[in-house]
Amino acid sequence: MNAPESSVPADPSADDARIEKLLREASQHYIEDGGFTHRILVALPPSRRRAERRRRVLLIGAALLGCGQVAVFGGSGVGAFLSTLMKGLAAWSALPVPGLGAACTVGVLACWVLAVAAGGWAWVRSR
Amino acid sequence: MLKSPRVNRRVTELVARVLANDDRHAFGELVRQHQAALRGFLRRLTGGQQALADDLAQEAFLEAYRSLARFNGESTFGTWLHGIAYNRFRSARRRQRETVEWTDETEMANAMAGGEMSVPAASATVDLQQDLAGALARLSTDEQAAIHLCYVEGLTHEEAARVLGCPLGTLKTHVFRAKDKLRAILGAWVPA
Repeated sequence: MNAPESSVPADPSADDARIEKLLREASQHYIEDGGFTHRILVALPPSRRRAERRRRVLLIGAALLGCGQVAVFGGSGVGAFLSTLMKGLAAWSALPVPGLGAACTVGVLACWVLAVAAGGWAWVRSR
Repeated sequence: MLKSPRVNRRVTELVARVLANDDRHAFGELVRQHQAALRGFLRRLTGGQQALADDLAQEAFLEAYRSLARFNGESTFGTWLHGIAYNRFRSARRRQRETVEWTDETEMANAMAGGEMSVPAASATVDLQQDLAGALARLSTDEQAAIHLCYVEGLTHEEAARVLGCPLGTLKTHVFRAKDKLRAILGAWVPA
């Protein structure tokens, strides 16, 4: 097919280059901050670290308060319960089963270590 | 957004400081580095409505702060941020569509321009940049976004497709159609 003599063949790549140049020139205008960053920082939610620290303090405080209340207001009933518990544990260890006492002691110690380790791990994870 | 490895390392350090210590200064630095590009992108999408664009930009930065742990470094921080901003823009547009009935994208783009952009007149006296802005406003939103990301911000096609949440082929189609339309509209300004 012959192109008409009067027409100039289109050069899409040259047109594209000109349009791209126009677009890039349009982007030269830099938008000044004008307080935008400050508005963002003011609108941020409260600090996460502060919230976590506050939660830890509340948990420990509540636990201590609870223990204090039991100790102060539990009355003789608490002491009697603890005494019964100790006697029960002592009775277990006095049973004529070889090594039962030692096993109970090791078991209790292991539970204590696990509980401390779990608490420490949870604290480290929360940081 | 073609950034040097040194700049990328700096951004990575800032992100790490925000995640580890909730470092507000580090987040402020991230905002300062990306606010111009993001606000320019949103101004393009909203047809020049600066207040709306800045509101959307603010929402995007706040969402970025809240979901910073989800930034996995697969793309640049700016690309990730642009993706959030584009989603914010689409949500705002959907909300606006629910209250007002639109017939097509072009009408929506012109309406969102709020009359700040006029259809370019075929006159040699019209300012070139105004004509360009007017021509861009006649593209669909996706085409405007694709052109802006690829040619104004310098993203690769893959990065731009990630921002817009569309397949690479779709992104290339948007770019192709946008350039076709711009070529036709701006034909009078292209020197022979």
